[in-house]
Amino acid sequence: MSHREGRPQLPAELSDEELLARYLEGQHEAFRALVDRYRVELYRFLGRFLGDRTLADDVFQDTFVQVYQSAASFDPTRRFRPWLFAIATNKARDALRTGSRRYATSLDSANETSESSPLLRLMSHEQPPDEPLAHRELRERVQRVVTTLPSQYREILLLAYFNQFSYKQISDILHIPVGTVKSRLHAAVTYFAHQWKRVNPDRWMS
Amino acid sequence: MKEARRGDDLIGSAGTGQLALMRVVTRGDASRRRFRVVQIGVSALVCGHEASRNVFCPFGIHVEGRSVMEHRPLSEQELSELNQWVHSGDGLSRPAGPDAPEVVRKISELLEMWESPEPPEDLVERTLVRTWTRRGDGSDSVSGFVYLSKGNP
Repeated sequence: MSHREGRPQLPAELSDEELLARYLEGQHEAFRALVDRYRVELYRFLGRFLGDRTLADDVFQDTFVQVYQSAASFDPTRRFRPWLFAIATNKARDALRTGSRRYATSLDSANETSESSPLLRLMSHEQPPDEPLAHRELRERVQRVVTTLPSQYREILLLAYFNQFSYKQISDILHIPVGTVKSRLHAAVTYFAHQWKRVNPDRWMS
Repeated sequence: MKEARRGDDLIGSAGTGQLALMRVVTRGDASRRRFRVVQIGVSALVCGHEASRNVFCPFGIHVEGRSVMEHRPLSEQELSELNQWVHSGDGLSRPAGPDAPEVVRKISELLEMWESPEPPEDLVERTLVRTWTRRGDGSDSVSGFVYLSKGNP
């Protein structure tokens, strides 16, 4: 059963900011719509950033609890999405800082077998059965490299590459100058390329 | 290049989809970009702002042997030369290799393979339950709801 059944419907074209405004006016269904709207995008961001689904699940919930608590202080002249990701990024950093379940592996472990990485173990359950072996192998190699990325490189690659935020928005999300966004992004790509070449000397540019 | 010296010319992002030609005015660690520059020229549009989000703009590439002596906008001729140089790939493959177009393409392809986790079916419901329905000691009560924070039941 869809979780939307039996509940008042909101116009699908409402912007995030309009949904938040409606929620603040007492329409609680609007808050649900916001959570639902970001279910996939935010969860994927957190899953990739944290490298752990349970932790991503936890931080996703924490993020919306924070949105709920801070909704009244949201500046309606700004965009909701970067604000949401700023909260999520901070929560994710806090989660990593606690260190209890940090799965970022050392550079040496990038050479270990896939069985050593929780992320890879999880991923291996989701491979389409008919995926060609070479492709699967390549995906696992990529996964090994991304798990070696320092968190500040991982977050900026995700925000820029997957979530398509502009430099200015990334600057607001991470609270760093635009120039630092560019140089950090450059450094992240350089690091990725270096690690890829290191782990896959025979496959670079092939 | 490990060290940037006064007088070195660098090419970098102008932040507008253009390339800036810059002159180093203080010494510093080039790999960490800990040095000051003055902008001495800007190229024609290299990549549009939209496109540049996924096409990493060339940044911090050392321009060997190029020299623009005055602090002024580049002439048409110089702009043309600079753009030709940029698009030739001549400079892009030097020291900042990852910015070379073929490398950017390759990295983009590889990043596409970064695992894409699917959210659990009940994530929204659990999030709403956590946000709204549990009542704690009242210290976080807002508009009739009580938020039960982690570790503070």
